[in-house]
Amino acid sequence: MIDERLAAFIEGPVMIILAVADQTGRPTIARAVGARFDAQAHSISILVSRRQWPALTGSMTPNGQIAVTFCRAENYTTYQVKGRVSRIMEPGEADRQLATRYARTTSETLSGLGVGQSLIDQWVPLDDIVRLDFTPASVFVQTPGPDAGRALEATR
Amino acid sequence: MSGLLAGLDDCFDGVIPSIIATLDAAGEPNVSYLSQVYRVDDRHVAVSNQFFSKTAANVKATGRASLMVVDGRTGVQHLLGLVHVGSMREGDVFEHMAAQLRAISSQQGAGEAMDLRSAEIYRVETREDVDGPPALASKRAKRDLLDPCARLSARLAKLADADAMIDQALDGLVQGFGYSNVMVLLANELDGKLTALASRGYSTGGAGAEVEIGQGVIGIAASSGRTVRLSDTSRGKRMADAVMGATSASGERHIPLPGLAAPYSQLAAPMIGQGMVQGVLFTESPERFFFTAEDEAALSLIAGQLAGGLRLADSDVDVAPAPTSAPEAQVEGPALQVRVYGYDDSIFIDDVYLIKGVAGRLLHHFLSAYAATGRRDFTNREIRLDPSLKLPDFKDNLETRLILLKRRLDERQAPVRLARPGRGQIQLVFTGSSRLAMEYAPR
Repeated sequence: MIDERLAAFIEGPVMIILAVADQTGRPTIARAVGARFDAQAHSISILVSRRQWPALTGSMTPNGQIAVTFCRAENYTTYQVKGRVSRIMEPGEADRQLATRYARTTSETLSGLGVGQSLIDQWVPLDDIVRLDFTPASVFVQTPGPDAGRALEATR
Repeated sequence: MSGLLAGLDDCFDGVIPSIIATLDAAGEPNVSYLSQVYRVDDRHVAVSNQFFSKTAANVKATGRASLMVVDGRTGVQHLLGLVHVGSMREGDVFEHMAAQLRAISSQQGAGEAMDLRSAEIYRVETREDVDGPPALASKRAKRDLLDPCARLSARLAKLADADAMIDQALDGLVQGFGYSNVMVLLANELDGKLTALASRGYSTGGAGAEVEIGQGVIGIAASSGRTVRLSDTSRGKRMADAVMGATSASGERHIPLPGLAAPYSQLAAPMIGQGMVQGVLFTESPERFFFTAEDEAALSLIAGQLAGGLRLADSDVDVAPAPTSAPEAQVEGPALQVRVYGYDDSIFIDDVYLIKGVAGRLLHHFLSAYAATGRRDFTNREIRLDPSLKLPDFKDNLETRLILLKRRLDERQAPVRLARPGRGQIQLVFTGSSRLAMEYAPR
């Protein structure tokens, strides 16, 4: 379902937003600071600041449903991946490096589009990061336009 | 604005995309970017529904959504908990959002995909301000526009002359409102265009420059009859590009529309009088987030008053007495080569393009009367009444068309100018030779 092209997309210079249901059964939103696809495990890891997103990170549960949308700001190409959380864990060294790299790439990309650094700094917190692995079950095209919402591929 | 939405003024300008999340009946989340969130009042927001069918289905099933809005000046993020209260496909909120969306998509070159299906109205139940570094951008300096607006309005109310009203309005917006760049354009329903009449703050006045109704910020304000405000156009296609594209086909007949090379904020207010859009009052700024909702309100008040004033001035000039004929010696010199193109009423003098359309027909009328009889004085009344002119379709805008023609000839430093010796009077003035050679070009 996640081919090489899509894997490269979600690991590339994209904005990452996610949603889960909170304890009261309402949707809650956060931004992630980096994503990685593990083809062998068929799993996507994303990194989220607990400090900035206490509501969402406090609501994540193993096997809980999750939606993650990846958007390339330069051309609005957007995909939403839905699935179930498989693991919630403290980040390793590679994860921290990924988050740092992500913050740098995002700054470069958005600066290039005319967004001020002080704005970008609000969106790429690197402190108190948690790693969230989930198993993708379906992918949807969400690039603005008539195709938005079309299922790219769904396994169930 | 008080209540849950207090202090969120810069979150609703569509600069940084908002995010909406919903759950389906089984609890599966969906998260999506949004084009536009509009603040309806201190407890309600309207969300644009274009093609987020999953969001729409989920809201129908659960009645709830979560929204993240981002302050376009500081980047600070806010989470709002929403309860759906209804869907609108017409009315003020819908029309305003539709016009704003069209302006954003025309500016970004996104085309029709941005059409608004409905405005979804939500009550805001909760608000959480997302933690982040201290916001760097300072709070916007508050400008009180009610007072300058009242003063400008009072000055306009004293005037009866349309030409003076236009100058007063533009000068008042520069001096009293602090706007660096302003322009007034007139709608010409016949050919679906707006024509610039006068401006301030640009290197050229631009009288006679055209904008397609429905295109760009100015054209959409005219077609929708709604104010359009863009707070950060830096990532979009320049409005002027679209304008240029529309007019480049006319080649040498093109008068460039004045415009900032890098306008970050733009605001266009329709001039509505007697229920008709008569033109657009436009302002832009090289600063991001320069115009607020208060500027939008103040500019529409002035635009409305200007529309009414120009219309009254136009119907009023007929009462002027016939002009005293002022015979003047013919100045000898090489004849001015006047070339008239009948298909678009364009006029060239000595190979220099002057004007086309209705203003072109008027100039043609004056010049041919002068060439035939030596007559230099005309009145608004006879132009209206002269059946041979066959111009009933624009007679309500006669005075403003004459103002356009006069300003264009002055700006172009044409060898023929118009003088207005008295109200409702028009006089041809030659700056050099007053001999004419009329030539009618084939189609």
